[in-house]
Amino acid sequence: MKTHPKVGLSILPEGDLRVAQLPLFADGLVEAIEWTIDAEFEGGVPDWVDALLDHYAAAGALYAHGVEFSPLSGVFEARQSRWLERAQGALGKRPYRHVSEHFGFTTVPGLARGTPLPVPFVAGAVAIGRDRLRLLQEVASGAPVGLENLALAMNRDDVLVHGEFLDQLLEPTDGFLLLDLHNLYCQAQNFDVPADELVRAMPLHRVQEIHVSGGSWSTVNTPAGPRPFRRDSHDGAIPSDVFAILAFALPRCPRLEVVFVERLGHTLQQAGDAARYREDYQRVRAIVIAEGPSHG
Amino acid sequence: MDDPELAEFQAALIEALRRASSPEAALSLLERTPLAEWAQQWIAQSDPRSLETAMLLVRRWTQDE
Repeated sequence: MKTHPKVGLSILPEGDLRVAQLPLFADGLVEAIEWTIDAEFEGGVPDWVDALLDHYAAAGALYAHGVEFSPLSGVFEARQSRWLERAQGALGKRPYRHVSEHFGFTTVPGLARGTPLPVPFVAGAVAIGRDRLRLLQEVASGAPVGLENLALAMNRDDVLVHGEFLDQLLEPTDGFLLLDLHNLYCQAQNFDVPADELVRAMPLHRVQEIHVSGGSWSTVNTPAGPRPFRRDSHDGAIPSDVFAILAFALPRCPRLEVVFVERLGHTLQQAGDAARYREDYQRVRAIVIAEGPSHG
Repeated sequence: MDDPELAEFQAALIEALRRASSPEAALSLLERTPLAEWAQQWIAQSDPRSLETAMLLVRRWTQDE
């Protein structure tokens, strides 16, 4: 029997997101969940989250995501060592299908917990990233380890080599690519590169997971005047272009296991936001069923 | 393992993004910082919109314990 990749939700403890997601769970439409393990490092995880994680782990449909390891920091800090210890504890509690982190660096000595920033594609950065992925692999309880492509790029050349950079980082650990389509859309929009060209430039043979989300436009002042800049803020509806990119990418990712819809908590405050969020989820699910690679 | 050259570049970048009043000021700060040639080339090619966005992001970073 042929099956399509699973479709699921990234869950967070925030109440507005939980309320928006509940009808999707109740209707049996959520085939997998992704949990940001950093959220449990300080304790205080709500009981309902624990129960949900246990339920999906038992079904072999639980995926881990990390945000604060900072795999491309040039210095390995005590903070990262503690992060690995905590990750090992979290990943050992229940079986995860795989664990992903973000391309980029979020820490330098004395400062931490930022949004990932890009790194130039140079041999030293590749060596550092490979080393950090090996360390993550050591604490992952046998789960495969992967990286997510980044939204922010410093220049057009970075955008064009991002796929090759990721492939080189992932190669020694046979890591997987978490292909975030809104991140890719941000790069395509901000640097005027066709999105299908960027999809083709990614190591698609490594893609096991796809993220789909919305974001926002900001206006940035430049010497040439104000110009728009797309940001991966996870606070809006999924743009129609991202649905199209999803349909384009799906049949090109033969190892794809799961597609997650992401949204930040506290961003579903207006009337209609939750309904639109659920409509977007259903649309993603329909595209995956129609276009996703079949697994026999 | 560490990469001192990469670490030095990242520290300088963060410092410039935190302290500069504009993307142009950040670029100027970085251009005056002695860094590896690859770092200087990357900095010179930076898009001002990316720099401004990075400045906003870095200013939300917190002091580590």
